[in-house]
Amino acid sequence: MSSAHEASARATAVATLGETIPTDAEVTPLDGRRWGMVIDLDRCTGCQACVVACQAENNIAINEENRVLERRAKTWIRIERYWEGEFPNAKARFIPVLCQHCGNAPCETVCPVWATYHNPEGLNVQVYNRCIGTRFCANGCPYSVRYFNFWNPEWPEPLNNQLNPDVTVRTKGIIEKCTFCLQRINRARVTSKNEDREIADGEVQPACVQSCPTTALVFGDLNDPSTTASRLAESERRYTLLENFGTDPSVVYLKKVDPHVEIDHHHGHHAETAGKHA
Amino acid sequence: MQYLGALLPRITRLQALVIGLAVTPLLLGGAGVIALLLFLMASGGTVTGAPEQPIAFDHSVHAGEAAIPCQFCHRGVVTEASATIPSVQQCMFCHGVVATDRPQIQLLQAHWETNTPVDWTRVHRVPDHVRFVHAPHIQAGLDCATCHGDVASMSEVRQVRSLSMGDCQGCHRENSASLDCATCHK
Amino acid sequence: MSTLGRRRFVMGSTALIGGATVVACAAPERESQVQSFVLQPEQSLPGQELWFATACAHTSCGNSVVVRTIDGRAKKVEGNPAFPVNQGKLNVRSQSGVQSLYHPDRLDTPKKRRGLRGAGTFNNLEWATALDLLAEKLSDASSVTIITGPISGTRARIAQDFAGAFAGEHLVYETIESSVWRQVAKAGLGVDRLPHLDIANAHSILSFGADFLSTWISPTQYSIGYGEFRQGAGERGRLIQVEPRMSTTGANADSWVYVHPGQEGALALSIAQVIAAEGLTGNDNWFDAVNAVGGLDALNAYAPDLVAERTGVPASRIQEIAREFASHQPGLAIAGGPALASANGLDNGLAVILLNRMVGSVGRVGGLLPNPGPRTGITPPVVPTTFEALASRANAWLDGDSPDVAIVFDADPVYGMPEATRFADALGSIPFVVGIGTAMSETLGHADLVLPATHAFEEWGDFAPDPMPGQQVAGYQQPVITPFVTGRSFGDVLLTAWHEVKPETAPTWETMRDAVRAGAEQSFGGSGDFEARWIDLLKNGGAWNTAHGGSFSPSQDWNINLLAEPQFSGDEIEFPMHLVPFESVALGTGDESANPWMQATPDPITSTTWTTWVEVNPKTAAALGVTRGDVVEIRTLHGKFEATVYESPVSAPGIIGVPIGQGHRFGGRWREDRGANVLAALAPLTVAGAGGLAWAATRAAVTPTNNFKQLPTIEVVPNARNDSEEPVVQISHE
Repeated sequence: MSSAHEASARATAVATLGETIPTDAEVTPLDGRRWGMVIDLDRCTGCQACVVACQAENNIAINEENRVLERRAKTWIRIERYWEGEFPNAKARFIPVLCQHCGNAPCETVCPVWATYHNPEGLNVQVYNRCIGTRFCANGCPYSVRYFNFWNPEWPEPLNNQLNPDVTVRTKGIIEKCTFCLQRINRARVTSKNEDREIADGEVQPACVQSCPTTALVFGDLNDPSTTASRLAESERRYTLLENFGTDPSVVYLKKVDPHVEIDHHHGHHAETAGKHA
Repeated sequence: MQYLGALLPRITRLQALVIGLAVTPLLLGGAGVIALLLFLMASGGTVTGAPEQPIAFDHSVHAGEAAIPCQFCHRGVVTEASATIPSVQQCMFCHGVVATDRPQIQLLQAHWETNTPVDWTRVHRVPDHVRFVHAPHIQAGLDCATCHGDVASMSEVRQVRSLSMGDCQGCHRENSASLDCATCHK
Repeated sequence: MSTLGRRRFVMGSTALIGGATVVACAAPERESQVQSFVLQPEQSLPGQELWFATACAHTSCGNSVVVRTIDGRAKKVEGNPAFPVNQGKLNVRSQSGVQSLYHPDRLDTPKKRRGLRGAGTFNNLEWATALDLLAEKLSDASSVTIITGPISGTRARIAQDFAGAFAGEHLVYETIESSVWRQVAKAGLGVDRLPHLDIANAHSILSFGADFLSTWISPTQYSIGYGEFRQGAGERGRLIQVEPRMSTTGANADSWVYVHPGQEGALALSIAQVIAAEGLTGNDNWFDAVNAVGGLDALNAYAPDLVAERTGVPASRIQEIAREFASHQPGLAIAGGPALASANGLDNGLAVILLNRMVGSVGRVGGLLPNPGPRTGITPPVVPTTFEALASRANAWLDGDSPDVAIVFDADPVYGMPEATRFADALGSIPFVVGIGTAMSETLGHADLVLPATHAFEEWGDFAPDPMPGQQVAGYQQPVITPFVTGRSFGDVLLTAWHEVKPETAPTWETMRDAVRAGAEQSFGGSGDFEARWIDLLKNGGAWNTAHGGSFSPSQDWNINLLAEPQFSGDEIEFPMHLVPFESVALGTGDESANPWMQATPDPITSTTWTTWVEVNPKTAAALGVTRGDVVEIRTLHGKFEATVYESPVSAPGIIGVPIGQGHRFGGRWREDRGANVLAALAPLTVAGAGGLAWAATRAAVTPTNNFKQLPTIEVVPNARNDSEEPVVQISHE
């Protein structure tokens, strides 16, 4: 995950901050875990349960109508819908898109202040209080899953009672994005440690995974071959989003099954490209 | 990436200024600006004097003379994020009969009788973007005094360590605990 | 395995005895302070998360939830993992329960009308004064009508008995009715309860208009089955969806088939004809089923060639559907949505039941299974009052034959009933109308006395899910927090008034909690201490067993006639478009549309938020001279409204789809004066023989207004990812 750019960014940070920036040697993998998600597009119905679960869990600001019109709505996970064909042979395709927690993340190398980095468990972490809002990372992300806070969020009282105390409320001027529900991972880490055991498969469920009625989303350690997620990630239907960018995502998609579509075997994908999102 | 250009509208002048401020030092190699920015963001709590409390609770009497273990009152500390302030009820287990003639105890009894909570002034506080969980620190065998000082000798509790990020990291480094940002930043 | 197993599941009553306990531990506003509890609830520490099982914010949805609470505040709603209906999962609307709980425009004080009915102007009252006023009106009343949403359990029992004691009736209003599907089950399968759809074990599903993955009947339950149906242990199931407007379920189908509105049944009989003529079913008894509709001769009138033009489905396509459905067994055929909301909806539904009988899916795993009734002692779900019955009540009230008092709870008929029924005026002719709710609604806006209700997360209750998931389930509801406002539950208001006005007929229990507990003891009591069992019921959110129950007795004599053209309101010349209203997943029928999460949740098909749009085929739009964002006027014989054009490539020419759920005058800052209410403009046509509102049988004219409104969608502009050589959604054959 090191690049020349990254090394120099770290060097700058270390030079200015001294010892508060951990060195590579210090941030060694705790136990070789790689958190990841498998999304089965054949199960996904586009029902939005994950979207609302995420809003509820992660204190995401209310996407008022104006925010949507300005295209500044924040949805750490969103369902993209692609059209194929025209009536009467038209189809709609759904795909949930969230931070892919790339192993080779374009966002990490461009941050001038080390606010986004890759953690030893494979998470792409955003340190909010370090972010200065350059938005370089959002520009660098091919998945458009990093959201900039153009305004301070507002929850008219008493709506603020619902806010999750485990998640920071982000202020104006910084980038936010999916954390794989880091707060739930950390809770499970503390609980399992207290009980002197390993985190069990399925013990950590991000809010989206937890809510999904069709179990299209499965979360787990992709480096542990015994987990459901890593087993599913070996499926013949597996692919990763925009694979040619070489980002090595931690989100694995399983292809939508359509017995009626013509597959162009030569190019390995189907003839009617589902590339348009409008 | 045309995609993002399409997603995000044109930036305002103010935003351009902010970005410009961030980019310029990079171009000029001005590490000082970054240092300043990072310093401002990384700085945590500071050592303070003892704040005034609504009831003059004296730790040196309870933890010191009476030698009541910390966890007797701070019940959450072993299993929870928060050590927890004891309830008025818990105070009243003893002070229903002990020292009931003292003015400060009568303040406490007033809370009990009127069913109103006590608004203690916070002594130790980490910023909202930090998630500090007591339990693993106690489980790791750390003594309360490591961070809180010799509370048993304090009449009025005050913060004795900076509890800034560097302070936390120093200890984490010494004890080979996690230095991953995501362990504490939420 | 479930993560929830490790969570602290607790039973609420001990934490909540003595309301002040938890009120006193409100999260400190000033961060420099930390409050101490006065009383430490035994099971809780400050900052500790506690999970309580209770009913979903809409008990009629049949789901049980667990609510995460910290320091006496509800933080997050998730499905109850052990509950057989939703198995830990939850749809979008149920998840927004915390927003209706802490809504800034939530009702927090009783109100008395000032000014004209429906003007929405009120004076605040003290609770004591409000209850005195209610008691006074009730003691003077010779009859009292109760109007509620779909309810069951103790709440239903109290409503029914109260109406009985006050010489009135209990009407159950459901905006989009399940009544036609109920009638289909009754006439076709001989059961009084909704059947269980064994989606998980089906190998093919042929759905006529039922949006079962999004809003139809019990979508969470059905979606869980759908996941298994697609990628479970067995063969991957095939989904064929037949409907005039592509629903979310249609968007997920392997084959989506357009059919002209009201012709779904004719198409079903045509498929049946192919199955019979080509001998496609291995079910030996298929002939019995065919005989029930008059034998093969009768079916032959629906041969593909004969109905292709009427239905809009080519004959070859009908044959393909028949072969695909018949060859992937067990197969399940279901009917819902516009198929049942046509004037001939009942016959459409029965034709679909015929398909199940022919392939042997009635009473078979992977088909339709009978549902058991609720456990003894739990009042079954009250059968919703049909549109026809409600409209005739409205007429009677307008003619002066009205009750003296009406009490409305959790139902919004003024919003949902077509304006042609003059329901608001009819309600206005009742001398005293009491509205009970957590927030204002169109109906409460017409009330004389408005009483703030406790939220579902603040009250006691029990419910029998409808439909059950093929097994007997009872759900229990407990307060998960101390009431946030001084509301009173519907049951408590009725019980208080009853004891006050007619103590001689009032039940022994004085509160909902006592009533629910007494009912539970009746159902789950027995020898020994009931307290421990009661605590278990609350901790688990209910009780269930694996016993399946009931049986079907399909009718042997159906009179299905789908040869005639279905009836529509409005002629084809003046009203050239078919208006197909639909429920979008978050807006639904408007129940939760006051919650900002629901307004901001994109519609799955169009990705639109915050407004009312109209889905138009691009060519139709071009012919009308409109394009995306143009505001058009949609006119029917009975009303008109405005909506913003969304050009949809999946829309059929001649069909306009309009979402329900907007166009409210009441209900708070996020939904008031936003979009339009399509239901108001519908014709008051009924489904023959079933009495439901034929909400898909209205024709409309569309005219441009020369106004433009940018559509709040989350879609990215076209070609955004065309740079990529790789398709974003990749497809596999299997």
